[in-house]
Amino acid sequence: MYLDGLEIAGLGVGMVFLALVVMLVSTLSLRLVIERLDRVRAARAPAAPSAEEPPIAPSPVESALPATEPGTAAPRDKAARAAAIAVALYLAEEEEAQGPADR
Amino acid sequence: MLVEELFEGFLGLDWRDVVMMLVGGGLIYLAIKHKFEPLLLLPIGLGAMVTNLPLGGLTDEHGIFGVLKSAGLDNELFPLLMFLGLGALTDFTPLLQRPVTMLLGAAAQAGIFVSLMAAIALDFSLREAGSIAIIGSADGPTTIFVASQLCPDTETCTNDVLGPVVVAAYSYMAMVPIIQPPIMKLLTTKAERSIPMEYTDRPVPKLLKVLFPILVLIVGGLLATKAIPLLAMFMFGNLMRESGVVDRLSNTAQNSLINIVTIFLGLVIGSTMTGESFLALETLKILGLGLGAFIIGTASGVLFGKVMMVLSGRKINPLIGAAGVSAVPMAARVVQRVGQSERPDNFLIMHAMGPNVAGVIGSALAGGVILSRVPALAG
Repeated sequence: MYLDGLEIAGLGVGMVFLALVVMLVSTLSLRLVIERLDRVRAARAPAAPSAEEPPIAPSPVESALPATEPGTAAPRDKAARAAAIAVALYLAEEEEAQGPADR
Repeated sequence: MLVEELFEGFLGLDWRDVVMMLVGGGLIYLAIKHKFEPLLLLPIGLGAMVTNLPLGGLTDEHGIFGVLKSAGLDNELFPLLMFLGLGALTDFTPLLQRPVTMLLGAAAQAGIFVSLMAAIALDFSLREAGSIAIIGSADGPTTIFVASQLCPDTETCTNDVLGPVVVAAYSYMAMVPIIQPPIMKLLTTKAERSIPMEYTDRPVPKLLKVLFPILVLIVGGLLATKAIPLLAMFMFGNLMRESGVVDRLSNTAQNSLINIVTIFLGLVIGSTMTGESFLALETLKILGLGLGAFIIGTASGVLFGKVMMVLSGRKINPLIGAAGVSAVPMAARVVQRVGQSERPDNFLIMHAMGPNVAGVIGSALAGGVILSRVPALAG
């Protein structure tokens, strides 16, 4: 019976350690993967807002202004772009006529 | 004739009944006066008192204790429902913040296997030795689950070990604040006990908290198949808690369910403490072996803690190894108290909670190994 006891004791200690080591390694791997995924998601978040967050409605002032191309100040709408170019040309001519010192 | 009827109860009283009623009274005293595991010792004490009143018939087949025993103890229902509630109450966050402390939950299970050998040396059968050894798990439901399967009746085991084993397990769990500190102090130096462990509030992703119980269930279930019922109920309870979508079920498991089962379980365990089965030399041996299992479990946890202390460059306080014996959260509180007595600004409780909850997993796995090997070898 002593040998049976020794067998159970050896197997028991070994099994408990093995199981917890496997759980430890799995947990660490899982945490690494989840944290990496979180980081990737966080990095993407400003460019593409997640579906969970509802888009923020533009204020009435913003709605009145022409929509711009992403990353530039150029209006997306063709008519608004033409108007903006016309305003820019007018301001450039005015600048030439008055000279920079008057401004 | 009338006098005999009037004093029927007195006349049926045996000296062993009186002693067991005193034992029951002692458990009630410990529960009320010293707050030693009152949730269990109170019903166990009352169950022991009532069952030893002669001619009550409570433990008969149709008596309330008999019905409860066959409904919940003979088929492991009560310990498993307890595990469901405990799973819902358990927070694995401290363990997931420092997963390496999981190993301390394994080291502290050594007490189980050393006391198994000691029980064999004291002429207990292999089944009885397995039932006694599991006291070292310091986990009530695991102890009941294993002991009730290995020794369900006196036909399978010569000695009626279930009652003494369960009483020993819960009594020693209640006495963790008395048993553990001397061993912890004996095996560590003052400098080691004073090692500070900084609390890092590292956030644990919710996804990890949800996946962890599933991971433990799969890994543990594949390696120790007989532990699947315990692990499944514990992890289901924890999954309900962490998923956050079944708060009503989680709250029921944490409160109403576990409280109802605790009442039934305590009374039924108490009812197994009859004078005939309890007042024997074997009971004293069982109590001694159980104490030894607790001591060795604590010692092996602390010694493994010292190994981790060296490997980590003295970043781990070896005292937290003592919490690996399970006994949640009492053992972690003891670590905090002993650590703080050496260095008042050292807060070890959150670090000790990691091995503490890992100890629950470790003890369930150890119980699974005993359940799979003992019947196979004992026949």
